[in-house]
Amino acid sequence: MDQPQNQKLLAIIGLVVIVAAVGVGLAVNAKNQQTASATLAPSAVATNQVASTTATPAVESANTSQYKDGTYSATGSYESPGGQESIEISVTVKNGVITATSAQEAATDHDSEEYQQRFIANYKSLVVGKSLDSVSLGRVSGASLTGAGFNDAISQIKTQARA
Amino acid sequence: MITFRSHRFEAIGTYWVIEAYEPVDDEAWADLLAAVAARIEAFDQAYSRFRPDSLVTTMAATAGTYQLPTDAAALFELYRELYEHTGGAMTPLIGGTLAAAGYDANYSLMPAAALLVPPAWDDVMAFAAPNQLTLHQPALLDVGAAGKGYLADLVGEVLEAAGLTSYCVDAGGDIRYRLGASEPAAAASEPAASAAEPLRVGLEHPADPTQVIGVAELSPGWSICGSAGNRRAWAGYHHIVDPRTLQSPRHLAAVWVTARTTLLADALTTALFFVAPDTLRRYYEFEFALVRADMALAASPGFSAAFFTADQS
Repeated sequence: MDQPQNQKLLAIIGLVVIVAAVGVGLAVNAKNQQTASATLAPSAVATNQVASTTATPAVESANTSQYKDGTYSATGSYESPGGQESIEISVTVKNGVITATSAQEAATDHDSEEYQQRFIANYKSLVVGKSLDSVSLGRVSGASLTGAGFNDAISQIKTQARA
Repeated sequence: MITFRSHRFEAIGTYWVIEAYEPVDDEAWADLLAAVAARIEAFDQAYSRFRPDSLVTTMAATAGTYQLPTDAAALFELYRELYEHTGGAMTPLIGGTLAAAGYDANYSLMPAAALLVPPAWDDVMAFAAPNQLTLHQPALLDVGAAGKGYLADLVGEVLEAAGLTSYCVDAGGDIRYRLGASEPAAAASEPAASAAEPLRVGLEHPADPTQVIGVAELSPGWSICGSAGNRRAWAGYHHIVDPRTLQSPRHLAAVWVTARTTLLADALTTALFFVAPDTLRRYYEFEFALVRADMALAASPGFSAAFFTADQS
């Protein structure tokens, strides 16, 4: 991996960690911060979720009263051969739980972007959720393969971050 | 159909449900479940990169020629095809990259500062026979993109070997559905020809496991698999990392595929994160539904499902 990409990745990881940490009341993991600086400001404005939704409902706060519902965003910058570039990460907190994160930077993922553009005409209506209880089903298919191990790891990270 | 037997358990880090749609006596059912557990254990013993005693863990430490289980042939043949069709994006050599991203044996979820691009297939792996693999250098293989679906098929074969022909195997949402030994329906969407009822499969909301965004009708003889990028997400990554960008694809929130085997359905859900459906439909018979990050839906005409959309509230 070339250096600029590496830096960008570090900046993204750093920002996600920082925003996520502040958003759910974790201490900040300092390791990845050197390339990213973040300023946090609660905002009532809906975030522009450009093809980068990474909701992490698995991360729950043990301290639900500490953070108010809202969207928190942070901007970070990094050096690229083309000069200073910046990315913006947003985290939406509801009832102390991160319900959505987004990164404006994601559009620079050229493969994904090209794929999206090429396929965009095929996308039609927006889907919405209905409660499981309200639908008669035999089985459910999706992402619910989340095993105990993963959830356990998330808990451990929270514990470590608090220490 | 009537569910005569149902058994739920946990294995390989996910839940499993086996349902029998024909009568099975107590002793036969107990024997079946034991055989299923043994089959899953054998698979895990070979392919789990999370186990210190697995074949895959041994291969990560030592180059050489390995005799793989006979089930490896179909798995690695499909992997090789999809490696070609995705321009190298889908590769079992992603194991080291995933581990470095934090998806490792200890579930550290702490990414390394830099991920490494996985090596090219031919630089590392050579098959002298379908299940005889020579590694030119140690390599951490990961068959997670197709392994769970494949194991659902292998478990189905265990049931069929014992004479059970009407059943469903649900491996954490990767589902193989069979009704009788009759020929499968001509298409996943084909209306039930006889008494062959479709299985109603809820399509889980990618951000909310208490909701579904639609209901698929799975015909007997078909399988369905789903993949979503955001349930198992950490520090900017999820369970798929694109070796070309060393990032987790973000453009899709969820993908479902129906195909005649769970192996193919599972593998294609990952492949669709890398290439457009039309590319893959030149080679494989399958139906799909894609939900983009903004929840916009694209589905093939043959994907038989009712979706809940914003305009119908």
